Amino acid sequence: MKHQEVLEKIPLYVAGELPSTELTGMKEHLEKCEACRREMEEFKKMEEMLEQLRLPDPPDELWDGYWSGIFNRMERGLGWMLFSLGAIMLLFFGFSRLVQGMLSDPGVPPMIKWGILCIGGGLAILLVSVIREQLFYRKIERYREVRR
Amino acid sequence: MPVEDRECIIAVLAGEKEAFSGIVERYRKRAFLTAYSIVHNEQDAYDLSQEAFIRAYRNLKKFELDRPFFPWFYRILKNRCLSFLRKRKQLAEVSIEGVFGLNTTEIDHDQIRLIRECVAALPDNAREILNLRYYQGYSYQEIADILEKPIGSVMSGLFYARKRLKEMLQEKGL
Repeated sequence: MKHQEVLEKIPLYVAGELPSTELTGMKEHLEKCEACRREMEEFKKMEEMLEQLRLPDPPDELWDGYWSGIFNRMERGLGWMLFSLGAIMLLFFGFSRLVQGMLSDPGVPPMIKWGILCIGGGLAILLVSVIREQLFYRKIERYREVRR
Repeated sequence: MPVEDRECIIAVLAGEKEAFSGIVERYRKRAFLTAYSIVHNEQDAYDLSQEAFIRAYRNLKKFELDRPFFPWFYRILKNRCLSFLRKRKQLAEVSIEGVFGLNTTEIDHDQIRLIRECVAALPDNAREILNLRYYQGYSYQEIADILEKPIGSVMSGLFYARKRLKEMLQEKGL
């Protein structure tokens, strides 16, 4: 077994996960290579320190209601989707009727009509822009802004 | 994939929603700990792990039945957690107090905080492997299975991660 390979496999060896076919080669190299033995000792020390990071098992009470919470939300998914779709359709219908009514009303000053048209146009552009950004954003690296 | 997982998934795909509880029960602890090791907050980890299960349920049709469930689910969960952190624009504060009832009086808070800060400063891949190994206690083979990488890649990734971590800890006097 080569020196670099042994260095990389020391963790496997210490954890007892090294395949039995590689054990002999590993032991032979360790016997004659002081640098690797030293590395293994340092590894063990670091391992002890890192073992302190181990998260404890969560308490059993944590799971009370865990599944029911998931199940309820699974069922509500379709409900929310239909509700949102219906609400969007009604809002769109109401808004278009309102705009239509104001534009066709001769009593409404032209300045207000232009203002309404600008607001409607602006909202449409913003909506398209947001949808496009969301769709595009999914395709590129999503987490580059995450601070490390 | 374990037979039980396969049976559950087939039943869910056939319309038995309740069969998904078998999957949830089997993987909820791993899911919660994975989320916790990324966001470092119990409530957020609880919510995010539940959300990931719901996403997995909704995307179950895309799941390939001949592959193991957890690596697929792990990617959904990890992406959900990272997306959550991205929206908060930061990684969670590294803290050990209040880790679901852990008796923290026996351990050196400052030392652990220092180690966690160093781990958090490592590149993504290195941090992920160290998280799986030391926060959650997976074997190297399990890590290779979860990340769907050859064990050789995991070991070389781990080798350089530990080397960098050692340098960082030495700089901080540990």
